[in-house]
Amino acid sequence: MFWSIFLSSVGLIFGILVVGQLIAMLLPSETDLE
Amino acid sequence: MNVGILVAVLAYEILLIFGVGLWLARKEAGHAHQDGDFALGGRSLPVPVVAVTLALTVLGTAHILGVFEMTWFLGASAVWFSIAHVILLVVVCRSTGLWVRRFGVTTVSEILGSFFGRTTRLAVSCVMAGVIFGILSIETQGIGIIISSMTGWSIRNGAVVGGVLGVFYVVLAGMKEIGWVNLINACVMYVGLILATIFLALRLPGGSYTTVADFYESNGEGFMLSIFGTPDIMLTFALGTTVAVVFSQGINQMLMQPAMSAKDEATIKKSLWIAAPINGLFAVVIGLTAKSIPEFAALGPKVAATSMLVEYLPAWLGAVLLASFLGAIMSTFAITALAPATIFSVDIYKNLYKPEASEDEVTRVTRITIVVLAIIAMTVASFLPPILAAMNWLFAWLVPIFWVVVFGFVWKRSTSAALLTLVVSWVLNTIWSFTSLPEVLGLASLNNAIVTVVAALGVGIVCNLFMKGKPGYFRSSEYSDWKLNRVPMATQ
Repeated sequence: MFWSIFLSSVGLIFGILVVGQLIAMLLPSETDLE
Repeated sequence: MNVGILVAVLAYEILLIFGVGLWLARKEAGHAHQDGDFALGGRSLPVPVVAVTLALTVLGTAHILGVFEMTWFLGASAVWFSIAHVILLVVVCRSTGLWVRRFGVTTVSEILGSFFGRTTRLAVSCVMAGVIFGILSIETQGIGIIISSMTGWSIRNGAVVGGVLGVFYVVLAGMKEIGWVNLINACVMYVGLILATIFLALRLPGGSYTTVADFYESNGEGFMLSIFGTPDIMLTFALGTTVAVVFSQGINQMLMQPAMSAKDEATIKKSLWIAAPINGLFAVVIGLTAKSIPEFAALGPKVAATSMLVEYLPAWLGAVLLASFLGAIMSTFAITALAPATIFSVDIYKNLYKPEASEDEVTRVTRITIVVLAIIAMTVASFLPPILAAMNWLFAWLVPIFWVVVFGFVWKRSTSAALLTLVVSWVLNTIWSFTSLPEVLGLASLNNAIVTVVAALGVGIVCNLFMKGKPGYFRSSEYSDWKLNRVPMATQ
């Protein structure tokens, strides 16, 4: 039980972070100067 | 409650807060004070400090006590409360947080002033300071509840003791103090939570969580073990919480202030990878375990989990865990005191009454305001309404500010459209909370934040389509000039 909850939560969090990163890369350059 | 544990918890907090605070105050004493030294840590905070401060700012009473309680009814899908905050941190660290840092402002309202004029700035200052003060009083209530459960004192007395410690969490050295104390508290909390999860498993029959899983499966509640619960939970709880959290907190001064304090924009982007995983994942496992053991299940959702921790863990580990929970809640208390005090000293005192005020004077006003706000919060803490209802109403005030700022950056800067969006959304929020309109419409379960998201988007889009205004900031010539020269932008 512990590992299924822990791994699915961690997987979901890193999935969200990667998707966020990809969306940010698609935004216009004005929002990403560095 | 074991007196030894209580003394250890309070001694840890006092040593940490005064140790770090006085060390930073002494370090800063010889330096000439610059703009934003106290409120923004001199805009010099590094990645680990910004990351844990962003994480611990949102990780307060609701994340710890709230998730234990939510798990009772929703099972593992209560973790969506934390996931919603991960999405919020992505929005902050990839857009709004970067924008406020780039603008070089000290308060969110300064951006509103620059885009839409003085009236909008003042309206947003007052509303935002009021909302964060509301959150401060709720956090004070949370501290009171935790100390009261440890000691048997009244919530009022617990709130006073915790509140005094919370004031010292910030008043000695401002944002730098919050940041460094947070870093130590976050490390202690993570070690404590990992050890607690292991020790808890060892105390269970069979030495693992298998019996907990068996309990739910044999009761026909297997869905409680999955973070994706049931379609109904996903639609109402997960989606509703995510919308409410992201669009209300995404522009809140208390989350923007750590971003403004970062050394640079790259620091904020890197912070995301540390801040997001800190969001409490272990609370649901602890909550599920408490409900599966009849002895604690009998105590009900509010106290089952904390009672189990005190009962099952060795005394030293119980002390570590309680100290870190208290630390996490006090960090939210500290920043919810600093944020409205910064708004008052910058947007009201310096902006309206004394434009020539020096940095030292602004810092003094900020410190006094922190103490005054904390005293009021301690006084009202035991008279507050239920936590969830209060939070819903408070957060919804910030939703139209989020959309007005986003529109101003990427689309159009129209003062009339901005004011109309704000006023309509704020009036609707109040009607939704204080009249029977939701029941009349059959929408009583609809969260205030979702109502204000719809209102702010609807009114904002229509008004900006038809009203005149300057192009969005990122599409303007001012921004092109700024990109060439990189000088701080003018605010009014």
